[in-house]
Amino acid sequence: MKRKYIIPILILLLLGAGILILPGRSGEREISPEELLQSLSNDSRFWSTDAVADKIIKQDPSMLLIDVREPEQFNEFSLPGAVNIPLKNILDEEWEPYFDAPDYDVVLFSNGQILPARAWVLLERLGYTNLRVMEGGLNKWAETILQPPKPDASAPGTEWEQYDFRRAARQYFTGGSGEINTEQPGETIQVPRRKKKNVVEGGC
Amino acid sequence: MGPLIPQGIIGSQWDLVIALLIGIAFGFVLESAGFSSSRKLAGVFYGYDFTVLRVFFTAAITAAIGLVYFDHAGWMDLSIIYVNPTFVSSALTGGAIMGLGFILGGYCPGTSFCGVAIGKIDAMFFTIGMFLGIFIFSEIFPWLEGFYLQRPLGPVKIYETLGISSGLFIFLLILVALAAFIVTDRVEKNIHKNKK
Amino acid sequence: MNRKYMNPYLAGFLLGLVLLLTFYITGRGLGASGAVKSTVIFAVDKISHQHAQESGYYSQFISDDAHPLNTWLVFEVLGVLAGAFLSGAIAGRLNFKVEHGPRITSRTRLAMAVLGGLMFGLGSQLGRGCTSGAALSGMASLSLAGFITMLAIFGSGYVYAYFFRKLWLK
Repeated sequence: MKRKYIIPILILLLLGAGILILPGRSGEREISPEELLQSLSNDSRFWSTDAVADKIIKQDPSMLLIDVREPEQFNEFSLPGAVNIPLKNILDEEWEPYFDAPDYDVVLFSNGQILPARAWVLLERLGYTNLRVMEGGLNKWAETILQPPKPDASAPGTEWEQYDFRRAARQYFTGGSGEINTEQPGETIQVPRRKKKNVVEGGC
Repeated sequence: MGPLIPQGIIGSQWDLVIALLIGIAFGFVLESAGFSSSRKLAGVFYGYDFTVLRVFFTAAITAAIGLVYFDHAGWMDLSIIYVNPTFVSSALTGGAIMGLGFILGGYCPGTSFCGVAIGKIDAMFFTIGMFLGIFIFSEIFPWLEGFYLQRPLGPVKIYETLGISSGLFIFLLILVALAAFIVTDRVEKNIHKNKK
Repeated sequence: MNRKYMNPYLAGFLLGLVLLLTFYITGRGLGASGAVKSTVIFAVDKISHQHAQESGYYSQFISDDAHPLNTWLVFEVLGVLAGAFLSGAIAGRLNFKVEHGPRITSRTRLAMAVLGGLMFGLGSQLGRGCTSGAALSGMASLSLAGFITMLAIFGSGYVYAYFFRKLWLK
């Protein structure tokens, strides 16, 4: 072996040994605080209760509802089709396929907005980009969808349209009686497991 | 943070310009290494010229090591680069057919383009053959489709299959490459000595 | 006549850097046979659009808004031609000739070249990529397919090499 190859070989072995020592990366990466701030200030992560109701009624398959409250509360009442993942368990590996599903809009909700906001920050830091929060939570849901306030007679037409939609939605969710539908939600939704995020098309 | 184009850091309108520039660098290096000569390429199978093995192995290792360090430095998200999916049957058979093509034709697609660029007429004929081959494949595809999709494993990485860490795998790969370089150097010298 | 070629290890290192840069910029490796595939599809689509639509293989790659030649790999290969020409020009290797082993005629060599190209065309489609796209880029990204394809190409090559030694050896 010629002398001029000794240094390159040593560098190669050194780099190789370096890789051995490097801690393994799982491929998941936390996003930087700057990026987090940027997406925090992005309002599109909030979905109104109307938007969520509309998607439920249309049975839009691209929306996945995640109830981040405790199971007891979830069993009392939740949105149809919602999956219960309590906040404290949200990072469990078991739930990963629910969030790592780029084709879905994952909508987090609870009674108010604090729990889902926390869940959102936790998950956003893992780099998921498909997360939404239902604005105002189930309280707002009750106010707007289940007991929609009647607009003033002088209100613009759009408010009336919204009111009509909410009344119709109320019928849908309560079965027309005005009572809250007690049917147990929470049937499991099969989410296709996706291993890689937006892998680039390639080929030779 | 890379990769740049899939993450929208470089606009897709630059895509084709970059393709051209990368191609130029690719072609320049291949030709400089002697990959425009079919006899040099075929030498790897007869032991008189192991250039192909040297260039090929060094390039793969350089890029593999680079990718790991880029990922570690946070310059690049290794989890979104393209990993070609594994279909065991078609990869093995396709490889075996390509091996035959290599021996008969003395080129592979990339190197034949280098040959064409500097005026090798055999390389031009090889390219014509390639067009025909792909055309034939497309025409008989319905008949091959079942086989084409047989034994899919998805975009798996080799160290996952072997059950070792990626670091250990790359380290072993480096050792294998160094051993191969030393052995082929000896073989090549012996063959040339015997000729004289 | 031929100027000296670059040191193979240096060339490999540079090629590795090009490959790394390609991954960094585009998120995928290099390729070659894919460009030929695009061209074949383009030609078939031009000659008989209906046939291309009906074929199970072409139709995967045809869409109404995307021009089949307007792809990354086609431009990359145009670059390869330019880059190789540049290198050949600098090194003084530009000339039209048929390179063949001492025991065969030019005519045999050209026939074998067409046949070899044909095999490579078939094999690269079946194996989802050629030496650059599947084997080299696949190895760099540590994909199992890359290693299988590489071993299959070169492993089988050594087997065939014995039978076809007349083509290359004295």
